[in-house]
Amino acid sequence: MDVLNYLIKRILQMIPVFLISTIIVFVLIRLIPGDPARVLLGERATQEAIEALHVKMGLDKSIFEQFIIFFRNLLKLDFGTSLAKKVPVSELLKSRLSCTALLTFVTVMITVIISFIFGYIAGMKKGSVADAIIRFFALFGLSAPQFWIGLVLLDIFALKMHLLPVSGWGSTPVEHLKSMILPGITGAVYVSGILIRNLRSNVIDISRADYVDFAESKGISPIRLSLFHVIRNALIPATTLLSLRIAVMMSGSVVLEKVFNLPGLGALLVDAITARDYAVVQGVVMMFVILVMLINLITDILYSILDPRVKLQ
Amino acid sequence: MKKHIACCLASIVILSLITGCGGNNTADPKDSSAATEADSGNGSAEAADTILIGRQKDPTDLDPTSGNDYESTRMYHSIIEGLVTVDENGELIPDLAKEWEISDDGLVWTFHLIPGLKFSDGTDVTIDDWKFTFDRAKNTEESYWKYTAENIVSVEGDNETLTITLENENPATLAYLSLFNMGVQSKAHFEEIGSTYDDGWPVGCGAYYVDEWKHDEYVNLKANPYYYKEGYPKTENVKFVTVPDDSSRTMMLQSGELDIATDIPYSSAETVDAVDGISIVAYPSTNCRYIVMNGAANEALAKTEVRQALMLGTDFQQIIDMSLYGYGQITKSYLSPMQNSYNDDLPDWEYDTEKAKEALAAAGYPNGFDVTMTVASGNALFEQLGTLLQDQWSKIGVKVNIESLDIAALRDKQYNMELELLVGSWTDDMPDPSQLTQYILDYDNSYGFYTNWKSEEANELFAQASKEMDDTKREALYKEIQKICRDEVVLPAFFNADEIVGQSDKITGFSQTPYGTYFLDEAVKTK
Repeated sequence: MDVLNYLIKRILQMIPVFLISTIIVFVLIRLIPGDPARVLLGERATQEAIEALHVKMGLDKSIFEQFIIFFRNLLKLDFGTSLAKKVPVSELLKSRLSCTALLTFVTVMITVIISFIFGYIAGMKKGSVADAIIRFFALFGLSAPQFWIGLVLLDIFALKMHLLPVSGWGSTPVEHLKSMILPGITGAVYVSGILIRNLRSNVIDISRADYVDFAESKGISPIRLSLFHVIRNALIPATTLLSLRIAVMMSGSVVLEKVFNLPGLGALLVDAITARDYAVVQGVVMMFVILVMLINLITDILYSILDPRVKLQ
Repeated sequence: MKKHIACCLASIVILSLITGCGGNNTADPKDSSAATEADSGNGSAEAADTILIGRQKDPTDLDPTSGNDYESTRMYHSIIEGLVTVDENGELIPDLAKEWEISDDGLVWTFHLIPGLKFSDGTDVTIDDWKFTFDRAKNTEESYWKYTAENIVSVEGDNETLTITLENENPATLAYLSLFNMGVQSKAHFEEIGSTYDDGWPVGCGAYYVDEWKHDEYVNLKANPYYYKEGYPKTENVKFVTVPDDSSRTMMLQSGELDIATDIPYSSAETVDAVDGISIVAYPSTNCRYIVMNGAANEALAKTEVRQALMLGTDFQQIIDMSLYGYGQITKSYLSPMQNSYNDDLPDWEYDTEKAKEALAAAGYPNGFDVTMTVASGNALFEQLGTLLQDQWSKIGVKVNIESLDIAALRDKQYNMELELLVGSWTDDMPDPSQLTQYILDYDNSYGFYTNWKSEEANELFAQASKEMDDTKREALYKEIQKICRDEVVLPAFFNADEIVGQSDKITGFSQTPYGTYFLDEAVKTK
């Protein structure tokens, strides 16, 4: 009951945020210099052709009129048509979203495996050689530029060893998954850098806590100790961090998408802004706003599950 | 701890299983591409069935009336053919029309078509389709190519003969008819898909038809089973893959995931060529990049003497060597040497910094002057051209400040004539000097190709040339126009570039025209 009330309250809070951000983007993108018709028709467009295209794109009306039309369509769940590609925006969003979602999923899986294992080891064996090595690699992952790591991996595993595709994401589900491995590792290297350090310090703090000493002195087996007392509690701040990183990853990693030629949301947004494709920019930003709000909501709920001391309000 | 190790091992096993499952496919990338083409009807996994061409951008529009970007215009000939076309040397040749007669007054052209033409969907090509095509070419408001069809008054005939009546005599008629918007398209298909090619494509008589278009990923072409040339095209599938990143595209070529890669950066040409099994092929092109000097935004640039002085201080050969690595040539006029009526009699460009400084002083700028050059951000070639110019002109006292602007903002400023110095681009689409000349002289639309230059004399010559049916006289008129532009230093070109393409040595028969159009009919990939 409490959870339900909380959910409803949060969802109601989302609505004004969504509306305000939508209006801001709508106005801003139209105010910056640049004409989508001129970009589409190129350098040698005649004034006649540009004006005709303006009418076709609906840009001959005032911003206010355009917004009314846009909003009416939005209520019908019609996100408009891309000015540059002439396909419905919803179609573009769907295919790009599935690519970015898959990349995020693979990255998270790899991140969880790497960081949870090594963060724990580094924490438990604080001060040892293993700890130093792990901390070094975490720092490396955090500092090395992603495009460089990506290109190196491509060079070794795709070009020289022919194990994985160089670019693109293929046409079948198996190909999709395979094409996500190298970008997933590249993305995971960075996020693991953050998470390993966080997990390590959590584990250190917790293993020094009174209740762990007490549990140990009660005679609880080492396995139960690490699982229920140390890990469980170390996970809490790490999970929050990871959720926030997921929100960032879902907004599309432009660098990874460009290097590995993946048709994701980041590339879509950058291309749309360059082309001043108003409808697509609007659609992508609206989707980000909703995604980020949802992920934050899930994070908060997850947090309250993991940490019984936290109550949803 | 042990559970973690177990989890870790399990995940590694799962990951390697996934990689291993596909392992056989990726070890031979050609097989995997054939596997995805499994529905093409060819049961065997023969590599020669598909040619993969990687390009920098996706086509924006497969509609030949409205498509304007290079990636789109180069593809039309593969799916649509018209009365005449252009061969790989850029010469006009008959296509769907075997021969034709012109009436004495030059207004009625009668074309005799190849009999029994069919569209790629098996339907017959009828006179209605031709009428529909020309009508669309002429009346689509937002079509940049509209002007090429405006001279056509009527199209009549039957399925074997086409009679086109013109309003005025126009020497560029055949050149216009070779353009892709004049290639016959199926009217029935157009009406079936809802009377718009938005997100769709036309059905034509080309060697291929569009099987699938996944935006920003690929366009898949399949061989036209009703193509009028027996035994062609030689390859069943051609897939144009969009790979925006230059290094990724080059890597895919090296790994065999692409058979051909276009838009290879000139700086990478040597490295790519050195790879076993891959060669760089240079195709002559009408592709030119211009030094656009806008007299409206910078008063020094408005003076012809100043522009002449600047040219004395420009080392064009160095520019070609450093930016194109030799894959290009100097052009003495605004037209590329590949275009008809190129004026080869014009003098070579002189490079003499002392003379340049003297000329600047004589023009009223003994201490040089400042000028701002604007380039599109992210365009490495243009940025390089800017740096080269900056370096060369600094030796004659002219200080070039380079500013980077995103392309949309740049176009806006360019159109408002606010930019002082910029790089202009042009590639011709037809074998006729009128396309570019008209654009430069159309002050209302292009402001003299953004230089703020106009000339009554040039306009008169152009008006004469547009009616002159005698080839020799017409050529002389265009040479006059080019001389005027050269004397007044309008649109000097950085270079006329060759287009370089990275090709696997297994590919034969692929080529492109100087207008960029691909010739895929004879392209074959051997195993």
